[in-house]
Amino acid sequence: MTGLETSYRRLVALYPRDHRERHGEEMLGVLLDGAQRHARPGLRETVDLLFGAARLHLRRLVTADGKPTRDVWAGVALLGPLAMLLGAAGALNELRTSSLTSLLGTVDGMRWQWLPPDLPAWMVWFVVAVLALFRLRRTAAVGAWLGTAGFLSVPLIDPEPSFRWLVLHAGSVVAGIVVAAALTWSPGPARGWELVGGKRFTLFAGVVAAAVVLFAMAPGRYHDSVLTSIGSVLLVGVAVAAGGAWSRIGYRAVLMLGLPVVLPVVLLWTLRIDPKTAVLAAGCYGLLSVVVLAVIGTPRAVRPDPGARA
Amino acid sequence: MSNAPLREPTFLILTALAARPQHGYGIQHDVEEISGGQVTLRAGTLYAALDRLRVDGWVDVDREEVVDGRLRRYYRLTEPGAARLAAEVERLRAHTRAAHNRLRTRLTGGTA
Repeated sequence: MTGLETSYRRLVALYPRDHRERHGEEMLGVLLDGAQRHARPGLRETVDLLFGAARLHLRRLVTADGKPTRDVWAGVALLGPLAMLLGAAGALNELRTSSLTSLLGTVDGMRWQWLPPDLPAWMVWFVVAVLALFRLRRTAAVGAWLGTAGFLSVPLIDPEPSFRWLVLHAGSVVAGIVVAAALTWSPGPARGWELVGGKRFTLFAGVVAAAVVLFAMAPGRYHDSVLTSIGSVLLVGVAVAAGGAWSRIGYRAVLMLGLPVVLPVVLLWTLRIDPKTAVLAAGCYGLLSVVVLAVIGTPRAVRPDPGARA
Repeated sequence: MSNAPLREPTFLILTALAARPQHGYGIQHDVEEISGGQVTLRAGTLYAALDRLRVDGWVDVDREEVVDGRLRRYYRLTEPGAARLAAEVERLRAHTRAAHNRLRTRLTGGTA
């Protein structure tokens, strides 16, 4: 194998797996036929190949390659309720760090005021996760919509009403809507189970549980701990690998769930914008909506695969 | 079927396949010839376009050959692809006709 062929193979290796399997050798042939006496790929050719690979990855990501999205939704219906519980870690951490005196020593009997205001919503989501596990799609769907409504009602339940919670938890709200929609309109967790399989689901569930425990038990306030942040990134990475690596459908499903949660965190932490501003809230929700729509893809008819007729 | 104007590489690839099936390298050469040397279709662009055209059902695999140990896959234009190309040709022809008429009016000093 010449150095030129090795270079081309490295570039072709950047293409999506299904494309490589179908067109990899063929592309190499075309590239070598056109290379003439060059010892290395030219700059324009390299850029063109990189751009082509990026386009195909993006096309698969936004489901613009004509593949059905129903299975992606089914994957979300199974994994989504479980993944949602990652958001409960904050409330659990708050509950743990609240002093016992605060919880038990109130003189006016208003103990509930010391509980995190979003705790009831997370309890609903826990029930939804159990229902989804038992493949009770419709009941889980009702619970998911209730859980999402619970998020929206947090500013009203909070003793100090503030819409700050909604801004900080924009990801949970949007992910809640995505999961509720998946449970309502997809083939459901039963189909998701067929796609994911028991072993992968168990691994995914284990990683989610570990992440929740890590967050909940972190010293001090969970979001101030660098160690917790690094640990959570690693855990999310493993979760993505466990939940999403089985296929492109799984990858999309996990991405669909992950992006709404990750983006607000990135926005709030890196840009250091005052989260109280309504502009940020509108930006978060707007951006998340666009991303979720982009990942899910707009509804479209499934075209027959021309390759099937060949 | 979308009636949006075809992008130039798409138009040229469909045109290259209109007369006969061709393999990737053949399409590249034909596109260069059709465009009078103005368009060089590189492999990355070509296969991204073929990927989309196959999904759209406008292009299909015709046959495969192994030449000098390398796989050659021939592509052909499907009926929907041919219909889409014909529609695009008609659209371009109408635009060209309108432009031609207006230029002629301008040259003869008439009013539009």
